Amino acid sequence: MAYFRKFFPLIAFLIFGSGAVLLWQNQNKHKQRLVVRHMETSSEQIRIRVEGLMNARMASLEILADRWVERTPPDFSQKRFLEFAENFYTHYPGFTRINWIDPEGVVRWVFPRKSNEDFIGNMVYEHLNSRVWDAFQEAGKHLKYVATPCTELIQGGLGFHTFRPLIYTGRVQGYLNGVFQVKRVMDTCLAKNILTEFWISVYEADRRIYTNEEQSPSNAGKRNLHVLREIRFPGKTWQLELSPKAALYPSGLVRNPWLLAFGMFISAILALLLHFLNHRMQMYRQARDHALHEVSERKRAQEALKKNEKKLEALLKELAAKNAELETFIFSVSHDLKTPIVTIEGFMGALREDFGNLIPEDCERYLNYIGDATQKMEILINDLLELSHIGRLTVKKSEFPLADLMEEVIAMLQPQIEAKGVQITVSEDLPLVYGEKKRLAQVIENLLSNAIKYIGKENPSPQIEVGLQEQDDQKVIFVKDNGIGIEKAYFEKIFQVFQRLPSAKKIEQGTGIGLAIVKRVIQYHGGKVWLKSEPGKGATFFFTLKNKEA
Amino acid sequence: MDYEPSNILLVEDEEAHAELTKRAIRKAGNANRLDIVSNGEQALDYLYNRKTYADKEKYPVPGLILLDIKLPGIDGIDVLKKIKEDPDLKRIPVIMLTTSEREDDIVRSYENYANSYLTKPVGFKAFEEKIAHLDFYWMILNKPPVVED
Repeated sequence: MAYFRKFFPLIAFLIFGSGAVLLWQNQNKHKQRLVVRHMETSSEQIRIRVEGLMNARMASLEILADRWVERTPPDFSQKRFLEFAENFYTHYPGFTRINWIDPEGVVRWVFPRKSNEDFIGNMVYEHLNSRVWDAFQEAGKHLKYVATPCTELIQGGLGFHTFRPLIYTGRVQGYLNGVFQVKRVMDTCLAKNILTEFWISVYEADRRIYTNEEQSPSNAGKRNLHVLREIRFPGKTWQLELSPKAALYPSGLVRNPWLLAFGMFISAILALLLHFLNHRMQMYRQARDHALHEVSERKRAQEALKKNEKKLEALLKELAAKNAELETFIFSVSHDLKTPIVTIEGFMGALREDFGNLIPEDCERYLNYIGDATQKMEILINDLLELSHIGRLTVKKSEFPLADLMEEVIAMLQPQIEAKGVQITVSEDLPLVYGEKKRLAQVIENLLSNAIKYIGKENPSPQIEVGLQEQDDQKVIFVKDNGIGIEKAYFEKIFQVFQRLPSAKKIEQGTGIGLAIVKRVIQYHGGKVWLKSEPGKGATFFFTLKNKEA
Repeated sequence: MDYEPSNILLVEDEEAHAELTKRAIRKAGNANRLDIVSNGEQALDYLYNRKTYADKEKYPVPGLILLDIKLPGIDGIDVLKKIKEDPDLKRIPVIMLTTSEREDDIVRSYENYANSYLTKPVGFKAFEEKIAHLDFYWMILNKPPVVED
């Protein structure tokens, strides 16, 4: 189909083009028909005129003959002949000459006399060719009107003679001889417009006796458009041939090439328009297909995305379930671990109490090691329990001033603060916060106790600053110390469970869970926690909390 | 009979814990007698005077029950349920004594009419003190109902 569409303009051009050619030819034929009809009427007109003229001339000679013998006794005088001849000559144009020839064939009288006097006294055969003589003989023999075939006239041009024997009292008195020049006859008969419109030729027994053609006669044969007509008058049969002159009907292809060119031009334009239309349509179709394709692609992509989302959701659910399971597990394990600690601590106490004075010094030292380890274990278990608690406990959130919480925590940490001689400054613009008070207290406690722990043993003026700053339209709370600081490489790590800095291990004891708890609590409250620090230049912990509305 | 809250039944599977508790109660000195069973089944046998505890004279109804939650077989909560569903036993104060701080353990205990919930503290001193408080409160301060036989 698309292949066909490509050729559609070409096919359309062919159809339109052939239509134009047909129209053009038809128009041509129509014109030709008109010309032919015009030629037919014109040739008919010529025929009627020539026949009429010649019949009239013949008749005039007849009348002349009759008039001549109507008197008794007849007057065959020269004077009378000339009177008649002059009369006919002037009133019936077409005659070249009118002669009177005696029975022996001698030309007696001639009209018009002027320039024709040489003929007088001549024998007909002497100056006329044999065919004229033959005709003359025939007229005398059969006593009837005879016309000669066309011959060269002495006066010039083609023409013919008519002989009318004049019979009186049973004897031939002489002959009335009419001489007609064909050209003169034709000129008399042909209207001017016919001469300008047509090539006209007259043939007598295949010989062309008249033409108005100036060009070589060979042109005539080539003409495809012509009309033939027979002209008949007493003693003569002529063929009249008419063909249109270029003015009326241009020779060869009379067709108007401009018309064809115009037709082809229109066809070409139509085809071109079609081509462009086709092109446009194709472009449109392509665009539509493309759009459809894109839409379906997008749909598919969306579906895939949805599927993935669902998968992700399922995975998340599974993950959450696994996480919850793990937390429950940690919780249970921590509890179970507590049982032996209770036993160890209990019996260590009992040992000291019941057998205190019996315990040797070394044994006492060993017991202390056991006691320290147990305590460490207890702290670890408690921290683990805390960590697994976060997100499980659903204590109601409330809005409270952070400053109050800060005061409580600082009061609780007072022994450590005093022990290290740390000076704590709390900014007065601490905001109202929204969350679980107990958990947030844990955050503050862990951050502050960390700051105290790692403030540095040789710090001349240990200081901790708690304050508020605005960052990207968010309230950011910070806890800043001038302690030992943290290397950048550990910025992420320290928030993970059981991750303690190598330096931290040397300085203070801890479980490595404190900051993990901080992170979890802050995340649980929809906030973020991060830090800035450089080794030896202190550390600043920042955290944000979600507003109540959010 | 005149209800004498002097007998204490301790249900505890952890022998060491039982020993520690026994020691602490003895030190507190308010209880006449402390009987120890190590699982739920034994606890119920004791209370209903079944099997080895058939002798009613020897194993009277205790004035206080210290009940651990995590027990092999019938666990503490089930024992609690049995006691509180029994019209003859339901008045006995039952103190849940456990290492568990789990919310659901606490909630389940109170839902089944436990009279108190105490966690075993870590540390010898803290443990002894807590037991002493317990002993003092339930043996001395608390006024139990008078039950007619």
